[in-house]
Amino acid sequence: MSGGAAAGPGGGVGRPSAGAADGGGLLARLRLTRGSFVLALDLDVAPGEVVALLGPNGAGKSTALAALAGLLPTDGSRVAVDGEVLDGPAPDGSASAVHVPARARRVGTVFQDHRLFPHLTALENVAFGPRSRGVPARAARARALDELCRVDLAELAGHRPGSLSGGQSQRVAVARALAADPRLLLLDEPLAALDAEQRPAVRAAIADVLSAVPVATVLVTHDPVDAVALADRVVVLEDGVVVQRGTPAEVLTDPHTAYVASLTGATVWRPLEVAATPGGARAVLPGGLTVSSRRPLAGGPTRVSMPVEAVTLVGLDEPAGRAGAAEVAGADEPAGGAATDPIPARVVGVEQRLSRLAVTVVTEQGSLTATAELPLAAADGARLRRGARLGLVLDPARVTIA
Amino acid sequence: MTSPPDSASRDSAPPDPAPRDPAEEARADPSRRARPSRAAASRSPRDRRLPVLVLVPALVGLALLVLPAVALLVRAPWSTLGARLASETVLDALRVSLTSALLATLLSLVLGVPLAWLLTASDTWPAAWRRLLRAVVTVPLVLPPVVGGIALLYLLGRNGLLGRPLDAALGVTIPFTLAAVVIAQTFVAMPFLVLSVEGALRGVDRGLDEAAASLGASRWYAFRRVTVPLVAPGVTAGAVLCFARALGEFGATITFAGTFPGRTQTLPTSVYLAQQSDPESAVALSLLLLAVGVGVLLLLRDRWLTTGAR
Repeated sequence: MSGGAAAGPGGGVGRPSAGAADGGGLLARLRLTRGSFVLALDLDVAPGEVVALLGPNGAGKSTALAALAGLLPTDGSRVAVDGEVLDGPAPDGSASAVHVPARARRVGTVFQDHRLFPHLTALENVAFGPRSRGVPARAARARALDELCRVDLAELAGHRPGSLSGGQSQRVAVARALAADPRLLLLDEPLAALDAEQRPAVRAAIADVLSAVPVATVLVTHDPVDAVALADRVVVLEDGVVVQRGTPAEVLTDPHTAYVASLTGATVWRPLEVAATPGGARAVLPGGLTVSSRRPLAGGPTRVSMPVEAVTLVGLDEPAGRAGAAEVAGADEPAGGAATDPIPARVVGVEQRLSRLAVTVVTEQGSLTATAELPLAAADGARLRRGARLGLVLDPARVTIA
Repeated sequence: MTSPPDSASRDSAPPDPAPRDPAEEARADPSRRARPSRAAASRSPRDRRLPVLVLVPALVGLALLVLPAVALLVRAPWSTLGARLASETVLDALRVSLTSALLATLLSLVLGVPLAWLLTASDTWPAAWRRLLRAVVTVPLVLPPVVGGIALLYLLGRNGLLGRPLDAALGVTIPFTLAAVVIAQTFVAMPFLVLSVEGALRGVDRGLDEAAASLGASRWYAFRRVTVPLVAPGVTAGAVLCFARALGEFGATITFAGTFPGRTQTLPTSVYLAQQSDPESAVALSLLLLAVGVGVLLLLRDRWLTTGAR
């Protein structure tokens, strides 16, 4: 992921370890109050590391980015990049706090709406950063051309933004941000404004650039695909508070909140009580349901969580339960199949995901919602109609109880 | 889903006189199948014709705008045109007109661009103040210019509100001088520039300033490289409009500055005077003003095309 230049002391271990420990990269303790909204976000990003800030609308992601960029007054926040304090209390303890203005921070931003200067060509846009720091025109243009090559747009150097597609504009914006030699790069939902068919190319261009440039990067997104494709770590923000941190796989397979679960169709329940058992852990859920796991009791907020692969649906009404299970699920029995009895549930919705069907069910006891993925072949008949009665089987090897 | 007899009859029907698109759309979308005739008819050339009640007044209106210029061209004393336009009176008037209109445009730029900026900044004011400011700026657009000239006379005339102390203290009298011509023209023409520049300023995305700052640009550099180039087309268009309006100014000029040949007699005022003594000269002068007007129009169109903003 992060190339040789970025890994540095990590050697063979691809990604840098979590956080910026000794001054390199970003160290941020954001504490912002805007009316009734309070943002409390600690964010450490090592040079070359990409941290995705994931969260629903209104979670404070954009506020956090604006604060890091120096576009907002930052109250009692502390922000340091590469050891230089950008926001914080005055070093000598006097009343006036440190606040380095946006233009002096060397914090680059790629905006959702690219914000290219409409009257300048792509090349002039990219050369804008070097030029504004006093680099001579010829050198600035050479640098700009290098950056445009990096995003594969050298042949469009003479075009104005008006004649570029959204995806091309966004790639120019990435090149422009990097040409200014930022110490911290902020990507503010860089793909959200693009058509679905333009996203992969831009995502790939960003991934290439990020792996080649050892800059600390914060990526704001609400698309888990961006987090998986671009980020080393994920920080989930809800209502101004961090609810989960981890690698993309950790976060997406063990969601701590309903929001994170909704990103991948994973399931998370709030148990009434949890306990460690000899073979793993056990949880009691509303409606008197119990769920067991063969994994040890985990840390973090109390939850029963599982990725979508841990959930299977079986037919309850067929006389031979086992045969019905195979027929509906069209998949192998979970390992150690008979570990749990099927939980009676009703189908509430079906959606298509590429070659799979995402079937959402609600348990009859406790009204717990879960989602399973079935092959398209399972669609025939009335089994998946709304209200259909099915049995929910969870794979104890893949359920996390905490 | 699809009813076989219906689709069969459609497919076997003779070539549809209507364009192919609507038929295909109707087939693809069953809900529109119920009234295919209407979908087809709405695209036919016959249906695109404007109603007579619109067409006739529109053509009469067009004639009203074009025919006077045609009459002017037809009745122009073409054989003596050169001599008439080369006369000293005409050249003096042309010189006064160009000088005063240019000065009025410059004055409008110096005062009007900040005024436009004030208008955009007034968004944060209480609504009443904001509306008052906007009303004051736009008054000259709706005020008859003659009234403007009288009002200027009562302000800056020898016995005017400001004119009397000015005369007493400095011995400066403004009315019936070239300065009066410039002031009268500025009064009438500046709002055109202000409104045009205001529109341009509002059109500049504040996000671009943030982008410039994030790239390390100082305020001055961002203003010079981003704001100014983006506002420039609007300022130019406003200045050209302002110049054209100043060049054609008549009412305020004649009441506030009079018609002294070589000093305050502009092309429009000399047209008015010539009309009473020498109608053919009036026609020749009018042709000159018409040519200037058309030139301004071409200049504006060119400007608007090259900005690419429109």
